Amino acid sequence: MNSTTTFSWRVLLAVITSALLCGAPRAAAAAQPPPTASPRTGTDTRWQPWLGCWSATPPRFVDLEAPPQQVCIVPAAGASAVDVVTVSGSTIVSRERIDANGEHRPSERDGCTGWESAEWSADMRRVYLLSEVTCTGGLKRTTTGLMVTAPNGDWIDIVGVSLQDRVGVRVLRHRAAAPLPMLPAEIASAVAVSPRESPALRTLLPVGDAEIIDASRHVNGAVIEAWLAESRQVFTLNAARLIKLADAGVDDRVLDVLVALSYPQAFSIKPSPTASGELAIGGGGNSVAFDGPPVLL
Amino acid sequence: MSPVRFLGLGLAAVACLSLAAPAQAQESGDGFLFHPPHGAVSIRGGFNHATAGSDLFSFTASQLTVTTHDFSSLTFATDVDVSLTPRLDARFGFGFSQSTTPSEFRDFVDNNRQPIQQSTEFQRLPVTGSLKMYLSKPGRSIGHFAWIPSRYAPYVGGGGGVMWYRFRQAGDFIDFETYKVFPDTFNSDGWAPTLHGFAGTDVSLNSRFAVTIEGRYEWAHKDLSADFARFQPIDLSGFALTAGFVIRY
Repeated sequence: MNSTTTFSWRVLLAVITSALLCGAPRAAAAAQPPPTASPRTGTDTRWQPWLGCWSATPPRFVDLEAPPQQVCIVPAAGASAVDVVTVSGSTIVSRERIDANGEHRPSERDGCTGWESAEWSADMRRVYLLSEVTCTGGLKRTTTGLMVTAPNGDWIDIVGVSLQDRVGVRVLRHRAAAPLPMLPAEIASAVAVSPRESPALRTLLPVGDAEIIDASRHVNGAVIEAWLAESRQVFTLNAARLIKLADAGVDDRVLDVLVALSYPQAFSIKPSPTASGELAIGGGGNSVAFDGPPVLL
Repeated sequence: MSPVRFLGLGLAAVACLSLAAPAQAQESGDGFLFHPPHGAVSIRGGFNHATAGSDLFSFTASQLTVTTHDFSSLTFATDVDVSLTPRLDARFGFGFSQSTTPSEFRDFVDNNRQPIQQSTEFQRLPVTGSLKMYLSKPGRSIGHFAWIPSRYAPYVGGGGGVMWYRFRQAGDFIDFETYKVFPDTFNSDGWAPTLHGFAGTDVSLNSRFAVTIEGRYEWAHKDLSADFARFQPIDLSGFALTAGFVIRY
Protein backbone atom coordinates (compact mmCIF):
# COMPACT_ATOMS: atom_id res chain seq x y z
CA MET A 1 0.00 0.00 0.00
CA ASN A 2 2.82 2.31 0.90
CA SER A 3 4.74 1.57 -2.28
CA THR A 4 1.62 2.31 -4.34
CA THR A 5 1.18 5.64 -2.63
CA THR A 6 4.84 6.55 -3.18
CA PHE A 7 4.60 5.55 -6.81
CA SER A 8 1.53 7.71 -7.32
CA TRP A 9 3.22 10.75 -5.86
CA ARG A 10 6.29 10.18 -8.06
CA VAL A 11 4.13 9.94 -11.16
CA LEU A 12 2.24 13.07 -10.19
CA LEU A 13 5.50 14.95 -9.54
CA ALA A 14 6.90 13.83 -12.87
CA VAL A 15 3.77 14.94 -14.71
CA ILE A 16 3.80 18.35 -13.02
CA THR A 17 7.51 18.83 -13.71
CA SER A 18 7.07 17.86 -17.35
CA ALA A 19 4.17 20.22 -17.72
CA LEU A 20 6.12 23.05 -16.21
CA LEU A 21 9.19 22.37 -18.33
CA CYS A 22 7.14 22.21 -21.49
CA GLY A 23 4.95 25.11 -20.55
CA ALA A 24 7.68 27.58 -19.66
CA PRO A 25 9.08 28.09 -23.15
CA ARG A 26 5.56 28.35 -24.50
CA ALA A 27 4.70 31.06 -22.01
CA ALA A 28 7.86 32.95 -22.91
CA ALA A 29 7.09 32.58 -26.57
CA ALA A 30 3.62 33.94 -26.01
CA ALA A 31 4.99 36.99 -24.25
CA GLN A 32 7.48 37.77 -26.99
CA PRO A 33 6.46 36.60 -30.42
CA PRO A 34 9.42 35.21 -32.32
CA PRO A 35 10.68 37.34 -35.19
CA THR A 36 9.46 36.18 -38.54
CA ALA A 37 10.34 37.22 -42.04
CA SER A 38 7.86 38.81 -44.37
CA PRO A 39 7.03 36.27 -47.13
CA ARG A 40 7.24 39.01 -49.78
CA THR A 41 10.44 40.79 -48.81
CA GLY A 42 12.21 38.51 -46.39
CA THR A 43 12.45 41.44 -43.97
CA ASP A 44 11.95 40.91 -40.27
CA THR A 45 8.23 41.53 -39.68
CA ARG A 46 9.03 43.69 -36.66
CA TRP A 47 10.14 46.36 -39.11
CA GLN A 48 6.83 46.33 -40.96
CA PRO A 49 5.28 49.31 -39.10
CA TRP A 50 8.35 51.39 -39.93
CA LEU A 51 8.75 50.52 -43.61
CA GLY A 52 7.84 53.25 -46.05
CA CYS A 53 8.30 56.98 -46.20
CA TRP A 54 7.96 59.53 -43.42
CA SER A 55 7.85 63.28 -43.21
CA ALA A 56 9.18 65.27 -40.30
CA THR A 57 6.46 66.67 -38.10
CA PRO A 58 6.20 69.51 -37.55
CA PRO A 59 7.77 70.25 -40.96
CA ARG A 60 11.43 71.14 -40.58
CA PHE A 61 11.51 73.54 -43.51
CA VAL A 62 9.26 76.33 -44.58
CA ASP A 63 11.25 77.20 -47.69
CA LEU A 64 8.70 76.52 -50.40
CA GLU A 65 11.40 76.51 -53.08
CA ALA A 66 13.47 73.86 -51.36
CA PRO A 67 12.86 70.29 -52.53
CA PRO A 68 10.65 68.31 -50.16
CA GLN A 69 12.40 65.94 -47.82
CA GLN A 70 11.39 62.50 -46.70
CA VAL A 71 12.94 59.71 -44.74
CA CYS A 72 12.21 56.29 -46.17
CA ILE A 73 12.86 53.02 -44.46
CA VAL A 74 13.43 50.20 -46.89
CA PRO A 75 14.49 46.58 -46.47
CA ALA A 76 18.22 45.93 -46.70
CA ALA A 77 20.31 42.86 -47.14
CA GLY A 78 19.87 40.62 -44.17
CA ALA A 79 16.57 39.76 -42.63
CA SER A 80 17.09 41.95 -39.56
CA ALA A 81 18.33 45.03 -41.43
CA VAL A 82 16.76 48.10 -42.95
CA ASP A 83 18.17 51.18 -44.60
CA VAL A 84 17.08 54.59 -43.37
CA VAL A 85 17.36 56.76 -46.44
CA THR A 86 16.99 60.53 -46.32
CA VAL A 87 15.78 61.90 -49.61
CA SER A 88 15.64 65.50 -50.72
CA GLY A 89 13.56 65.68 -53.87
CA SER A 90 15.06 63.02 -56.10
CA THR A 91 18.44 63.02 -54.37
CA ILE A 92 19.54 60.60 -51.71
CA VAL A 93 21.10 62.73 -48.98
CA SER A 94 22.13 59.98 -46.61
CA ARG A 95 21.72 56.28 -46.09
CA GLU A 96 22.14 54.58 -42.76
CA ARG A 97 21.88 50.87 -42.21
CA ILE A 98 20.28 49.53 -39.07
CA ASP A 99 20.80 45.84 -38.47
CA ALA A 100 18.98 44.99 -35.29
CA ASN A 101 20.84 41.77 -34.55
CA GLY A 102 22.75 43.12 -31.57
CA GLU A 103 26.14 42.63 -33.20
CA HIS A 104 28.84 45.29 -33.27
CA ARG A 105 29.57 46.51 -36.77
CA PRO A 106 32.64 48.59 -37.59
CA SER A 107 31.82 52.22 -38.16
CA GLU A 108 33.75 55.04 -39.77
CA ARG A 109 32.29 58.49 -40.20
CA ASP A 110 33.63 62.03 -40.21
CA GLY A 111 37.08 60.89 -39.17
CA CYS A 112 35.76 58.90 -36.25
CA THR A 113 36.11 55.13 -36.05
CA GLY A 114 34.48 52.60 -33.77
CA TRP A 115 31.45 50.37 -33.79
CA GLU A 116 27.71 50.58 -33.91
CA SER A 117 24.94 48.16 -33.15
CA ALA A 118 21.19 47.92 -32.94
CA GLU A 119 18.89 45.55 -31.14
CA TRP A 120 15.25 45.11 -30.37
CA SER A 121 13.87 45.80 -26.95
CA ALA A 122 12.81 42.87 -24.79
CA ASP A 123 9.19 43.35 -25.83
CA MET A 124 10.15 43.91 -29.49
CA ARG A 125 8.41 47.29 -29.56
CA ARG A 126 11.47 49.54 -29.82
CA VAL A 127 14.91 49.51 -31.36
CA TYR A 128 17.92 50.50 -29.33
CA LEU A 129 20.79 52.06 -31.23
CA LEU A 130 24.30 52.19 -29.82
CA SER A 131 27.62 53.38 -31.14
CA GLU A 132 30.99 54.17 -29.73
CA VAL A 133 33.57 55.98 -31.78
CA THR A 134 36.92 57.59 -31.19
CA CYS A 135 37.59 60.78 -33.08
CA THR A 136 40.66 62.83 -33.84
CA GLY A 137 42.56 63.64 -30.70
CA GLY A 138 41.35 60.48 -28.96
CA LEU A 139 38.01 62.03 -28.14
CA LYS A 140 35.54 59.27 -27.34
CA ARG A 141 31.92 59.75 -28.36
CA THR A 142 29.12 57.45 -27.31
CA THR A 143 25.77 57.56 -29.00
CA THR A 144 22.61 55.82 -27.85
CA GLY A 145 19.30 56.09 -29.59
CA LEU A 146 15.79 54.89 -29.58
CA MET A 147 13.33 54.20 -32.37
CA VAL A 148 9.84 54.05 -31.00
CA THR A 149 6.27 54.25 -32.22
CA ALA A 150 4.17 56.97 -30.61
CA PRO A 151 0.58 56.24 -29.57
CA ASN A 152 -0.68 58.06 -32.67
CA GLY A 153 1.53 55.97 -34.93
CA ASP A 154 4.29 58.57 -35.36
CA TRP A 155 7.86 57.36 -35.48
CA ILE A 156 9.92 59.06 -32.80
CA ASP A 157 13.64 58.95 -33.35
CA ILE A 158 15.72 60.01 -30.36
CA VAL A 159 19.49 60.17 -30.32
CA GLY A 160 21.70 61.06 -27.39
CA VAL A 161 25.37 61.85 -27.90
CA SER A 162 27.66 61.66 -24.88
CA LEU A 163 30.92 63.51 -24.96
CA GLN A 164 32.83 63.32 -21.70
CA ASP A 165 30.24 64.25 -19.05
CA ARG A 166 27.84 66.07 -21.34
CA VAL A 167 24.91 64.66 -23.23
CA GLY A 168 23.16 66.15 -26.23
CA VAL A 169 19.77 64.84 -27.21
CA ARG A 170 17.99 65.19 -30.52
CA VAL A 171 14.36 64.26 -30.95
CA LEU A 172 12.79 63.80 -34.35
CA ARG A 173 9.16 63.00 -34.88
CA HIS A 174 8.10 61.59 -38.23
CA ARG A 175 4.62 61.03 -39.53
CA ALA A 176 3.77 58.40 -42.14
CA ALA A 177 3.45 59.96 -45.58
CA ALA A 178 2.81 58.84 -49.13
CA PRO A 179 6.08 58.52 -51.05
CA LEU A 180 7.06 61.64 -52.98
CA PRO A 181 6.48 61.27 -56.72
CA MET A 182 10.08 62.26 -57.47
CA LEU A 183 11.69 59.62 -55.24
CA PRO A 184 14.69 57.88 -56.73
CA ALA A 185 13.54 54.76 -58.55
CA GLU A 186 15.49 52.48 -56.27
CA ILE A 187 13.70 53.80 -53.19
CA ALA A 188 10.32 54.07 -54.88
CA SER A 189 10.41 50.42 -55.91
CA ALA A 190 11.59 49.27 -52.50
CA VAL A 191 8.77 51.16 -50.84
CA ALA A 192 6.27 49.75 -53.31
CA VAL A 193 7.40 46.18 -52.66
CA SER A 194 7.34 46.62 -48.89
CA PRO A 195 4.22 48.52 -47.93
CA ARG A 196 3.94 49.72 -44.39
CA GLU A 197 1.69 47.79 -42.06
CA SER A 198 -0.17 49.45 -39.26
CA PRO A 199 1.60 48.99 -35.96
CA ALA A 200 0.29 46.09 -33.96
CA LEU A 201 -1.91 47.09 -31.08
CA ARG A 202 0.66 45.96 -28.55
CA THR A 203 3.22 48.41 -29.90
CA LEU A 204 0.87 51.23 -28.95
CA LEU A 205 0.30 50.05 -25.39
CA PRO A 206 1.25 52.50 -22.66
CA VAL A 207 4.83 52.46 -21.52
CA GLY A 208 5.23 50.61 -18.22
CA ASP A 209 7.95 49.98 -15.67
CA ALA A 210 9.34 46.97 -17.52
CA GLU A 211 9.82 49.00 -20.69
CA ILE A 212 11.55 51.81 -18.82
CA ILE A 213 13.84 49.43 -16.97
CA ASP A 214 14.69 47.62 -20.19
CA ALA A 215 15.45 50.88 -21.95
CA SER A 216 17.60 52.02 -19.01
CA ARG A 217 19.85 49.03 -19.55
CA HIS A 218 20.49 50.00 -23.14
CA VAL A 219 20.39 53.73 -23.69
CA ASN A 220 21.37 56.92 -21.92
CA GLY A 221 18.94 58.31 -19.36
CA ALA A 222 18.69 61.55 -21.31
CA VAL A 223 17.30 59.61 -24.27
CA ILE A 224 14.65 57.92 -22.12
CA GLU A 225 13.85 61.24 -20.49
CA ALA A 226 13.26 62.76 -23.93
CA TRP A 227 11.18 59.76 -25.01
CA LEU A 228 8.89 59.96 -21.99
CA ALA A 229 8.60 63.74 -22.20
CA GLU A 230 7.75 63.46 -25.87
CA SER A 231 5.16 60.76 -25.23
CA ARG A 232 3.29 62.90 -22.66
CA GLN A 233 1.84 59.68 -21.29
CA VAL A 234 0.22 60.16 -17.91
CA PHE A 235 1.80 58.01 -15.24
CA THR A 236 0.56 57.19 -11.76
CA LEU A 237 3.77 56.99 -9.85
CA ASN A 238 3.83 56.14 -6.17
CA ALA A 239 6.61 55.51 -3.67
CA ALA A 240 6.71 51.76 -4.25
CA ARG A 241 7.06 52.15 -8.02
CA LEU A 242 9.73 54.80 -7.56
CA ILE A 243 11.77 52.51 -5.34
CA LYS A 244 11.36 49.64 -7.77
CA LEU A 245 12.53 51.76 -10.69
CA ALA A 246 15.42 53.31 -8.76
CA ASP A 247 16.59 49.93 -7.51
CA ALA A 248 16.49 48.66 -11.08
CA GLY A 249 19.02 51.33 -12.00
CA VAL A 250 16.76 53.78 -13.77
CA ASP A 251 18.51 57.13 -14.15
CA ASP A 252 17.54 60.01 -11.84
CA ARG A 253 16.54 62.23 -14.74
CA VAL A 254 14.16 59.55 -15.96
CA LEU A 255 12.62 59.29 -12.51
CA ASP A 256 12.27 63.06 -12.44
CA VAL A 257 10.34 63.16 -15.68
CA LEU A 258 8.16 60.29 -14.48
CA VAL A 259 7.31 62.27 -11.35
CA ALA A 260 6.55 65.30 -13.49
CA LEU A 261 4.31 63.29 -15.81
CA SER A 262 2.53 61.76 -12.82
CA TYR A 263 1.80 65.10 -11.18
CA PRO A 264 1.13 67.56 -13.99
CA GLN A 265 -0.57 69.94 -11.58
CA ALA A 266 2.66 70.36 -9.66
CA PHE A 267 5.20 70.21 -12.47
CA SER A 268 5.47 71.56 -15.93
CA ILE A 269 7.63 70.07 -18.61
CA LYS A 270 9.08 72.31 -21.25
CA PRO A 271 8.27 71.33 -24.80
CA SER A 272 11.25 69.52 -26.20
CA PRO A 273 13.60 72.14 -27.66
CA THR A 274 14.77 69.55 -30.09
CA ALA A 275 11.40 68.72 -31.54
CA SER A 276 12.44 70.16 -34.86
CA GLY A 277 15.76 68.41 -34.89
CA GLU A 278 18.25 70.68 -33.16
CA LEU A 279 20.71 69.15 -30.77
CA ALA A 280 20.22 70.21 -27.19
CA ILE A 281 23.22 70.09 -24.94
CA GLY A 282 22.66 69.19 -21.35
CA GLY A 283 24.85 68.33 -18.42
CA GLY A 284 24.21 65.71 -15.84
CA GLY A 285 21.14 67.42 -14.46
CA ASN A 286 17.63 67.70 -15.71
CA SER A 287 17.34 71.43 -16.22
CA VAL A 288 16.51 70.91 -19.84
CA ALA A 289 13.22 69.24 -19.11
CA PHE A 290 11.82 71.19 -16.21
CA ASP A 291 10.83 74.74 -15.61
CA GLY A 292 12.18 74.52 -12.11
CA PRO A 293 10.92 73.52 -8.75
CA PRO A 294 7.40 72.19 -8.29
CA VAL A 295 4.74 74.73 -9.04
CA LEU A 296 2.34 75.21 -6.17
CA LEU A 297 -1.29 75.52 -7.15
CA MET B 1 7.13 87.46 29.94
CA SER B 2 5.46 85.01 32.26
CA PRO B 3 6.02 81.30 31.61
CA VAL B 4 2.30 80.77 31.03
CA ARG B 5 2.19 83.46 28.34
CA PHE B 6 5.39 82.01 26.92
CA LEU B 7 3.77 78.59 26.79
CA GLY B 8 0.69 80.04 25.13
CA LEU B 9 2.74 81.79 22.47
CA GLY B 10 4.74 78.63 21.87
CA LEU B 11 1.62 76.52 21.41
CA ALA B 12 0.21 79.12 19.04
CA ALA B 13 3.39 79.04 16.97
CA VAL B 14 3.29 75.25 16.80
CA ALA B 15 -0.38 75.35 15.81
CA CYS B 16 0.43 77.78 12.99
CA LEU B 17 3.22 75.54 11.73
CA SER B 18 1.00 72.47 11.99
CA LEU B 19 -1.71 74.17 9.96
CA ALA B 20 0.78 75.46 7.43
CA ALA B 21 2.08 71.98 6.65
CA PRO B 22 -1.20 70.54 5.30
CA ALA B 23 -1.71 73.72 3.29
CA GLN B 24 1.29 72.60 1.26
CA ALA B 25 -0.25 69.21 0.56
CA GLN B 26 0.22 69.64 -3.18
CA GLU B 27 3.93 69.33 -2.59
CA SER B 28 3.63 65.62 -2.14
CA GLY B 29 2.95 62.61 -4.30
CA ASP B 30 1.57 59.22 -3.43
CA GLY B 31 3.83 58.17 -0.58
CA PHE B 32 6.56 60.71 -1.18
CA LEU B 33 7.35 64.39 -0.93
CA PHE B 34 8.62 66.37 -3.87
CA HIS B 35 11.64 67.41 -1.83
CA PRO B 36 13.37 66.31 1.36
CA PRO B 37 11.61 67.84 4.36
CA HIS B 38 13.02 71.07 5.72
CA GLY B 39 12.24 69.76 9.18
CA ALA B 40 9.39 68.64 11.34
CA VAL B 41 7.10 69.74 14.10
CA SER B 42 6.28 67.25 16.81
CA ILE B 43 3.64 67.40 19.51
CA ARG B 44 3.95 64.82 22.25
CA GLY B 45 2.37 63.88 25.51
CA GLY B 46 3.35 61.40 28.16
CA PHE B 47 4.55 61.00 31.69
CA ASN B 48 7.41 62.80 33.39
CA HIS B 49 8.93 60.95 36.29
CA ALA B 50 10.47 63.57 38.56
CA THR B 51 13.70 62.42 40.16
CA ALA B 52 12.84 64.52 43.22
CA GLY B 53 16.25 63.76 44.65
CA SER B 54 16.90 66.81 46.82
CA ASP B 55 16.14 67.17 50.51
CA LEU B 56 13.19 69.46 49.97
CA PHE B 57 11.25 66.57 48.46
CA SER B 58 12.30 64.07 51.08
CA PHE B 59 11.44 66.51 53.85
CA THR B 60 8.07 67.21 52.29
CA ALA B 61 7.42 63.50 51.90
CA SER B 62 8.40 62.84 55.48
CA GLN B 63 6.18 65.53 56.96
CA LEU B 64 3.22 65.51 54.59
CA THR B 65 1.08 62.76 53.17
CA VAL B 66 2.85 62.80 49.85
CA THR B 67 5.51 60.61 48.30
CA THR B 68 8.26 61.64 45.91
CA HIS B 69 6.26 59.90 43.16
CA ASP B 70 3.55 62.52 43.58
CA PHE B 71 5.83 65.10 41.98
CA SER B 72 5.77 63.11 38.75
CA SER B 73 3.05 64.11 36.35
CA LEU B 74 1.68 64.15 32.85
CA THR B 75 3.82 66.16 30.48
CA PHE B 76 3.39 67.84 27.14
CA ALA B 77 6.21 68.75 24.81
CA THR B 78 6.62 70.17 21.39
CA ASP B 79 9.65 70.49 19.20
CA VAL B 80 10.50 72.17 15.94
CA ASP B 81 13.23 70.39 14.02
CA VAL B 82 15.23 72.09 11.31
CA SER B 83 17.13 69.80 9.01
CA LEU B 84 20.86 70.54 8.86
CA THR B 85 21.91 67.46 6.93
CA PRO B 86 19.91 64.41 5.82
CA ARG B 87 20.60 62.77 9.19
CA LEU B 88 21.13 65.72 11.53
CA ASP B 89 18.52 68.16 12.77
CA ALA B 90 18.68 71.19 15.01
CA ARG B 91 15.81 71.01 17.46
CA PHE B 92 14.12 73.74 19.40
CA GLY B 93 11.47 72.84 21.88
CA PHE B 94 9.74 73.28 25.12
CA GLY B 95 7.72 71.16 27.49
CA PHE B 96 5.46 71.53 30.43
CA SER B 97 4.70 69.36 33.40
CA GLN B 98 2.85 70.15 36.58
CA SER B 99 1.84 68.22 39.64
CA THR B 100 -0.55 69.50 42.27
CA THR B 101 -0.76 67.31 45.32
CA PRO B 102 -3.15 67.93 48.21
CA SER B 103 -1.79 66.75 51.52
CA GLU B 104 -1.94 66.99 55.27
CA PHE B 105 0.60 66.61 58.04
CA ARG B 106 1.31 62.97 58.76
CA ASP B 107 1.77 63.27 62.52
CA PHE B 108 -0.20 66.33 63.52
CA VAL B 109 -3.78 67.51 63.63
CA ASP B 110 -5.18 70.85 64.75
CA ASN B 111 -6.96 71.67 67.96
CA ASN B 112 -10.19 70.34 66.55
CA ARG B 113 -8.51 67.09 65.59
CA GLN B 114 -8.92 68.04 61.98
CA PRO B 115 -6.11 67.42 59.48
CA ILE B 116 -3.78 70.31 58.74
CA GLN B 117 -4.13 70.57 55.00
CA GLN B 118 -2.09 72.18 52.28
CA SER B 119 -1.29 71.72 48.60
CA THR B 120 2.08 71.34 46.90
CA GLU B 121 2.48 72.48 43.33
CA PHE B 122 5.53 71.60 41.25
CA GLN B 123 5.87 73.01 37.73
CA ARG B 124 8.64 72.65 35.18
CA LEU B 125 8.89 74.25 31.75
CA PRO B 126 12.11 73.49 29.87
CA VAL B 127 13.04 75.58 26.84
CA THR B 128 15.82 73.82 25.01
CA GLY B 129 17.94 73.52 21.94
CA SER B 130 19.34 70.19 20.78
CA LEU B 131 21.05 68.29 18.07
CA LYS B 132 19.11 65.26 16.88
CA MET B 133 20.88 62.56 14.90
CA TYR B 134 19.09 59.81 13.05
CA LEU B 135 20.69 56.41 13.49
CA SER B 136 19.54 55.37 10.04
CA LYS B 137 18.40 57.30 7.00
CA PRO B 138 15.09 58.97 7.81
CA GLY B 139 14.18 58.84 4.14
CA ARG B 140 15.45 58.25 0.68
CA SER B 141 15.79 60.78 -2.08
CA ILE B 142 15.06 59.41 -5.52
CA GLY B 143 15.91 61.71 -8.35
CA HIS B 144 15.48 65.39 -7.66
CA PHE B 145 11.76 65.38 -6.98
CA ALA B 146 11.00 62.48 -4.68
CA TRP B 147 11.74 61.89 -1.04
CA ILE B 148 10.33 58.73 0.50
CA PRO B 149 10.32 58.48 4.29
CA SER B 150 11.68 55.38 5.99
CA ARG B 151 9.09 53.37 7.90
CA TYR B 152 11.14 53.64 11.08
CA ALA B 153 13.63 56.38 11.85
CA PRO B 154 15.35 55.89 15.23
CA TYR B 155 17.29 58.83 16.61
CA VAL B 156 19.30 60.08 19.56
CA GLY B 157 20.22 63.55 20.62
CA GLY B 158 21.12 65.94 23.34
CA GLY B 159 21.37 69.58 24.19
CA GLY B 160 20.73 72.19 26.77
CA GLY B 161 18.72 75.23 27.64
CA VAL B 162 16.90 76.71 30.54
CA MET B 163 14.08 75.43 32.70
CA TRP B 164 11.54 77.54 34.47
CA TYR B 165 10.27 75.96 37.64
CA ARG B 166 7.93 76.71 40.46
CA PHE B 167 7.68 74.89 43.81
CA ARG B 168 4.82 76.27 45.83
CA GLN B 169 3.12 75.08 48.98
CA ALA B 170 -0.08 76.77 50.10
CA GLY B 171 -2.36 75.96 53.02
CA ASP B 172 -1.91 75.47 56.72
CA PHE B 173 1.45 74.81 58.31
CA ILE B 174 2.89 74.28 61.76
CA ASP B 175 5.39 76.52 63.49
CA PHE B 176 7.48 73.82 65.14
CA GLU B 177 8.80 76.26 67.75
CA THR B 178 5.35 77.25 69.00
CA TYR B 179 3.30 74.38 67.49
CA LYS B 180 0.84 76.92 66.25
CA VAL B 181 -0.96 76.30 62.98
CA PHE B 182 -0.85 79.18 60.53
CA PRO B 183 -1.94 79.69 56.93
CA ASP B 184 0.79 80.63 54.48
CA THR B 185 2.20 80.20 50.98
CA PHE B 186 5.80 79.23 50.40
CA ASN B 187 7.10 79.77 46.91
CA SER B 188 10.28 79.36 44.94
CA ASP B 189 10.52 79.85 41.19
CA GLY B 190 12.98 80.93 38.55
CA TRP B 191 15.07 79.78 35.63
CA ALA B 192 17.66 77.06 35.89
CA PRO B 193 20.18 75.84 33.32
CA THR B 194 19.38 72.37 32.05
CA LEU B 195 21.00 69.60 30.03
CA HIS B 196 19.22 66.70 28.42
CA GLY B 197 19.62 63.59 26.30
CA PHE B 198 16.97 61.75 24.39
CA ALA B 199 16.32 58.75 22.16
CA GLY B 200 13.30 57.78 20.17
CA THR B 201 11.93 56.67 16.88
CA ASP B 202 9.60 58.05 14.27
CA VAL B 203 7.18 55.67 12.59
CA SER B 204 5.95 57.10 9.32
CA LEU B 205 2.26 56.96 8.55
CA ASN B 206 2.69 58.64 5.17
CA SER B 207 5.03 61.10 3.53
CA ARG B 208 3.86 63.98 5.69
CA PHE B 209 2.87 62.47 9.04
CA ALA B 210 4.53 60.15 11.52
CA VAL B 211 3.98 59.02 15.05
CA THR B 212 6.88 59.24 17.43
CA ILE B 213 7.87 57.80 20.78
CA GLU B 214 10.67 59.33 22.77
CA GLY B 215 12.46 58.95 26.09
CA ARG B 216 14.25 62.00 27.49
CA TYR B 217 16.23 62.63 30.63
CA GLU B 218 16.58 66.23 31.78
CA TRP B 219 19.06 67.32 34.40
CA ALA B 220 18.66 70.57 36.30
CA HIS B 221 19.27 71.93 39.79
CA LYS B 222 18.58 75.37 41.19
CA ASP B 223 19.02 77.20 44.47
CA LEU B 224 15.75 77.74 46.27
CA SER B 225 14.34 81.09 47.28
CA ALA B 226 14.39 82.50 50.79
CA ASP B 227 11.14 80.70 51.59
CA PHE B 228 13.14 77.45 51.59
CA ALA B 229 16.43 78.91 52.75
CA ARG B 230 17.76 75.95 54.64
CA PHE B 231 17.34 73.43 51.85
CA GLN B 232 19.79 72.24 49.23
CA PRO B 233 19.28 73.25 45.59
CA ILE B 234 16.08 71.74 44.27
CA ASP B 235 16.39 68.74 41.97
CA LEU B 236 14.43 69.53 38.83
CA SER B 237 15.62 66.48 36.92
CA GLY B 238 13.35 63.84 35.49
CA PHE B 239 12.78 61.22 32.86
CA ALA B 240 9.94 61.75 30.41
CA LEU B 241 8.44 59.10 28.17
CA THR B 242 6.27 60.67 25.51
CA ALA B 243 4.48 59.78 22.30
CA GLY B 244 2.87 61.97 19.71
CA PHE B 245 2.63 63.11 16.13
CA VAL B 246 5.21 64.48 13.76
CA ILE B 247 4.36 66.74 10.85
CA ARG B 248 7.07 67.18 8.25
CA TYR B 249 7.26 70.50 6.51
